[in-house]
Amino acid sequence: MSIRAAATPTGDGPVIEAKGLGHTYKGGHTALDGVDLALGTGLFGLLGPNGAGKSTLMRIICTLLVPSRGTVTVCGRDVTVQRREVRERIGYLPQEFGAWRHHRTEEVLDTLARLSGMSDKRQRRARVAETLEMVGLADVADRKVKKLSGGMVRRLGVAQALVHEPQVLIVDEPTVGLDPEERMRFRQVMARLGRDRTVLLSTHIVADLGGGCQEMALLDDGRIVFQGSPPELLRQAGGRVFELTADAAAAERVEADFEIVSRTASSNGVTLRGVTANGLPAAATAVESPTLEEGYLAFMAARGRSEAARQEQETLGAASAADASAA
Amino acid sequence: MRFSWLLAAASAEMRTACRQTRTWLGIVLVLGFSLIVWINVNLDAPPPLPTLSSVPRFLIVEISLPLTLMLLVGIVFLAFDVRGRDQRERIADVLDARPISNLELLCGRLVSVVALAWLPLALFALLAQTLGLLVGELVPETQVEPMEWRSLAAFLLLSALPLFVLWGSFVVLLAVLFRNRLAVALIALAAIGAWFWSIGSAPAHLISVVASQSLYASDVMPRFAEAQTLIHRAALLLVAGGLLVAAAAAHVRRDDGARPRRFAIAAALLAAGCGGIAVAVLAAVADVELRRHWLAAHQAAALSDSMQGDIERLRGTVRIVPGERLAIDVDVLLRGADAESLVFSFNPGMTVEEVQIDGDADVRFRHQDGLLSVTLPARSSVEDAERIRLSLRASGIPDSRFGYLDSATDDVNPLILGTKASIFQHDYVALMPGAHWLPSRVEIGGPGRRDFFAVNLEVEVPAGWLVAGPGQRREVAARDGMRPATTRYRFHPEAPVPAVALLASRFERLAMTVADVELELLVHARHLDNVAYFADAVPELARRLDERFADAAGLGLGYPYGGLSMVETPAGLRTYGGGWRMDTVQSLPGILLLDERSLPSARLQRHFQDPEQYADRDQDAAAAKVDALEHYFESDFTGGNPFQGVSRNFLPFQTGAVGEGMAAVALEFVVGELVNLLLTDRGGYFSAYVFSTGFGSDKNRWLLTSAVEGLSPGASVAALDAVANRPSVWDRALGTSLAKLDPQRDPSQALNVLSFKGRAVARSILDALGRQRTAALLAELRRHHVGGHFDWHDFNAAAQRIGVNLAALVGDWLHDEALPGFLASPATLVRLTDGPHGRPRYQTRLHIRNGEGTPGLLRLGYALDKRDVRRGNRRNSDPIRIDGHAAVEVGLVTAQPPIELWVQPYLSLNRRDVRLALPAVDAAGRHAGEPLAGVVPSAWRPRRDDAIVVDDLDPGFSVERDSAENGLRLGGLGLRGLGTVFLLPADMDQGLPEYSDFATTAQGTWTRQELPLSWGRYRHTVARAAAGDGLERAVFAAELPATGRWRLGYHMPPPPPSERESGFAFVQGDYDLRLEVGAGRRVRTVEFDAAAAAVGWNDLGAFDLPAGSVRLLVSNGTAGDLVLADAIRWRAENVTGLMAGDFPRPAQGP
Repeated sequence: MSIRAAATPTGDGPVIEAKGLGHTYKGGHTALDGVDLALGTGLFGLLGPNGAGKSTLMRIICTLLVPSRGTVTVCGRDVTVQRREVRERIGYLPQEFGAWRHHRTEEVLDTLARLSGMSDKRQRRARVAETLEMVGLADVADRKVKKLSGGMVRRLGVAQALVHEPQVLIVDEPTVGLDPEERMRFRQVMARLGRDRTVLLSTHIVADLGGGCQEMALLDDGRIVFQGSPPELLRQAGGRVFELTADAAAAERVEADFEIVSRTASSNGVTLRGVTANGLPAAATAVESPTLEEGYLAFMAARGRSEAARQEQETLGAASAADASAA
Repeated sequence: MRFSWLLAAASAEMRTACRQTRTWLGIVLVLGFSLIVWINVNLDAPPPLPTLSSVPRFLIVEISLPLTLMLLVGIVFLAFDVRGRDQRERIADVLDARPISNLELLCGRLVSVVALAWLPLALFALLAQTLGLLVGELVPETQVEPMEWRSLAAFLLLSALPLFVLWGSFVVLLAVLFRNRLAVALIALAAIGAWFWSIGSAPAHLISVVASQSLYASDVMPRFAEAQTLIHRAALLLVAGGLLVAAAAAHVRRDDGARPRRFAIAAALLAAGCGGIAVAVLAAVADVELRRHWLAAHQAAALSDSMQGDIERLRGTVRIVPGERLAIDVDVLLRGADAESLVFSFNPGMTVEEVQIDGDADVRFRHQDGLLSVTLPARSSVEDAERIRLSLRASGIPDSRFGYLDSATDDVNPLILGTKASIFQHDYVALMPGAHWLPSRVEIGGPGRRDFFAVNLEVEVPAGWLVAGPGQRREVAARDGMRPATTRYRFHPEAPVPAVALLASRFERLAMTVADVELELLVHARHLDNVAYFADAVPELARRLDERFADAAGLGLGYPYGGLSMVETPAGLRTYGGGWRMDTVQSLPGILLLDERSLPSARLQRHFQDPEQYADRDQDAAAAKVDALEHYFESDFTGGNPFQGVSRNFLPFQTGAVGEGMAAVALEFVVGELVNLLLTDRGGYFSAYVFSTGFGSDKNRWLLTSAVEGLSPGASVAALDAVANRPSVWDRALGTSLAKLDPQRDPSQALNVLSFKGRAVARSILDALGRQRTAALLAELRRHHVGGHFDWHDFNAAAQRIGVNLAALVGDWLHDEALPGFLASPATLVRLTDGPHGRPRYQTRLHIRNGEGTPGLLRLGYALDKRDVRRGNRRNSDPIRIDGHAAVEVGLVTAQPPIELWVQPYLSLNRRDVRLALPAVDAAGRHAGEPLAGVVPSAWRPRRDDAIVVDDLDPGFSVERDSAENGLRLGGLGLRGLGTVFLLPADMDQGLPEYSDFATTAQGTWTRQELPLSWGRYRHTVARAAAGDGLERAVFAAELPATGRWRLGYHMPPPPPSERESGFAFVQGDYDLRLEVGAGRRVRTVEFDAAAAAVGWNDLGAFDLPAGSVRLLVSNGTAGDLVLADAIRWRAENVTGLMAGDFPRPAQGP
């Protein structure tokens, strides 16, 4: 499987740049407020709880939504003025992806490649085959979409976003519905793609960012609350992640007062790892190397948003565990 | 716009549609329907009806509209979710993030939708053409043939495609605007329905624009499209473009196109398209306005003091350069010039180059609005004050819109009968008299006084062309002054003509000479199949024609023009005239026009595969074929019936009737019918109204009736019976004499009255006088008035000269509106002593009384065996004339006892034939005595019955509905009401809707039905209602002359024969009867179980009633299927004080 380098964006400026971006929906709900963002080549993670404004941001970048305020450029093109040029340069996998149910997998890709400007039939066919191979759908190239599993459809979504070799890849909650193996595979693909192009990956699952993520932003309530590298996020979480082992009764008390990330029962008692906004609980020790998830939760806890962040992660806790075992 | 993206969107859409069952279902339906129709038309042998029958060559014009409609519905279901489907399949965002523009995306999808609708058509065309060519070539006797390709291509490319694009764009716009696909489908289907309805409602001149379809296909003059059509279709595409751009602009997805700019472009395209359509509409409207303008000018001219040229002679030359120039150089000799100016109707397409009066070129003239006005020079310069010689030189191309300006139905013209008054094209020339390509009388208001003039014309046409004109055509030897590559013909018949027509083309000619008359058939080279088929019947045909022409000559009515040309005409040529009557113009002096959709392309070979079934077994095949041909011609009720057409040459083209108002028309009609009956013994009927777009129900009436009753003895007669001889026409006819008929009041009905009443009069004259004396009368008329005119007195004088008192024989049929009415006694039937050689003889006797003051004619009709009954063959007695208020006894002697007996009046208040009951015959008994075979005077009167009888036609009968329940009724239509899908409006019969299987009457409505054995005086009818809500009541009201006991009888007729024979008899049940007595309407219920009732009078009981009014109410509520209300009878049982005259009307049974 190979991933070809995308064409280099014109100029030296950021590939995606948002300035003072804001969006308020008709009902008055403000989804984005004063977002400034500048992305270069590489895998960029956009993290945030549900309703934080991630999808709105992505839809604006993809030209599907006109922002209420501010500007966004992709490869130097304004997303509200030069839509066609922006669209020629992006690949987009929406949060909810489906395809023409009666078309074959290969046909879907072929059509979408044509609609992206790949007019040379021979070249297009080769690229379609290559992309299918890349996402592991080569074996079902002749199968109709309606007969694909949910995971396969998701992979087809990735394939359609990649098939025309865009400079910018925008993926919104890409791993929803994937089994652990597919999630692993997906992370690897994203990491590789991020080497030579801009990949903007929106997720509320911290684990999805994987090791390939060079930079990330935390979006909360329509604002960027953090932008930097994952180590920086972890650094900011320093001293706020703790671990303690206690008997069941004590553990219960700690669980009631702190945000707990994991709980492991053993013959020695219960081992808890959690985050705190203020001080460590009694008998707890600060964790030296917290995970990215713990860092994210600690960050959010510090903002008093631990509840929202934790719910997201809890729902996916099982999946994350499974990921770990798969890895 | 990037084409590759558009194609990508199209192919994706196509793929999606092709993998849906509904798409294939639609394709199979459309393809199946069209192929089945095509195969059916090719292989089936429907009764051949000239012009109306489906000819495979021209099939596409007939099925184009239903096909288009089906496919438009298909387009709705292909395009109604072009946006919603993306969202349902959750691919909308992915597509939206693609660089393809909205316009490219929608355009691509439209291309796919249109292609999916259009390709089945193309496939059908390909299949049909291939099969047509192959089968036609390999198995020629099948008469399978491909469609005329230009009309097919025009449909595919200029009708279907623009319409699909237009409606497809409309649906796409709806789909973009409304997310709910059901709403989209409903709105789109409603709009398509409205469009389809508007086609039926549009004025005739706008139908082709509204429908966007060609009206004609032609082999004789094949055309792909005219410039106007191309402009109109381009306009449709512009509108479609506007809708599509509007859809792109309104699309929820944003692209680089600025919305305001897009909307502006859409508006511009819509404006341009609508402008183009408006141009087409305005052009059509302008044509109508121009005709109205011409008409106004003609009306003014008709009222002016200018002399209407009374043409005596016409001579000169006519040069035809097809499609380019018509040049005429003629001298017209006019009579009776006592005015200061002359005025003619002259086609405005012609440019007048020179006018001379008696050789004087210094003449002031003006040619404007189709009127040529010439100011006559001072009297001194006119050599002969009685005659003027007008010399006219003019050239140009006759305007095909000019002609028949005073047509009664400009908005609902019968398009099927053609629209162009003349044709002057590179491949066909039709110079019809109605187009006034020669200066002619200004005619306004229908058939008026006609000129009869001598003609001597030289006609120049391109070499290889043939021209049909008045009478025999003689080729003129080449001489100086003739242009190269041309041929000249002379038309110089001995007899006068009322009009001159020239029809020219590269015809194939077939000719024969019979009884010194040269008959020729001029047809298109493609239409020789029937000629080949009838080749072996030519000797038989010639023999019969010879017989007829010789017979006419022997009767003193020889054919006057020496030659008769039957000429094929293209489908678009208008074949009916103007005025209120809009008579056929297919019959011209020396010419019979044959619409190419009639005999030339008729599939007679297929229809008459077994000629013997149309002939007696002892005939040979040739005779059978000629029989078949005659049957075909006889069925022509589109104006091309050659029997009627040819017979006009013998007298109506030689002299014309004059008189006040309708008297002349009626007189001329009856004389024409007399000639036709005398020479051809065939009836016929033509009314352009039947084919008018606004009179479709009349055509339906005929089609349905003929379908039910069969086409024998010819559709033309069936048409006369179905359309003209119906109650509403009778109601009109009884109120006025023929001479007083007002044609301006419902002209179509006036024509119906004229047709059936005039024909009945003609038939009665012919039967009363016999063939020889009728011929003598007509010959006398022609001899005295040839080239001139005759009136009512001249007609009667001609009869007097041959010793006939017509008035005494048939009364004043022209001015008298009264009709005779016949009453018959019960018939007696006995077996007589056997005749010579022991042959059995049966005597049938009956008395017939004429109850009215007007004398009348009738015949007795009878059938001796069931085969005759089945075939509708009745044997007829000689005509029986009965004076007013007189009676005769009629006797028949037959070898078998009759099983049916009918009184058959020609024209009487009985309206239809009256069937009489026949008693059973005592086969063993033998009656001696003198048999009666003929007619003897009688003093018989109908038996006076001391009873009061109220029949459903009497003034005492009425229908009431409970006032409280009046309102909108949405009742079912009943089983028989299924016919209402044909939407025939019910005809009114003396105040009640006529009962018909196909009429649109609501369940429970009282209707009237003719029933031979029902009670009645002259007419035998019954009121009937299908079981209803019980609120609509038939009322029999009577005035009882005295108080006492009265016995009430209720007459039940036998069920209608059709129901008896079909086994579809209605179930009878209890009737809801109510007796209302006196002014206070005291109510008594009366029991009556119709299921147990006997045919005839049924006793409802005796009632003690006071003198005065009494009403029996019969509601439409019943436990059975229907209620019959025929007649009631009050018979005095114990009543004192009755006096003679209390029962004034003699009762008359069935």
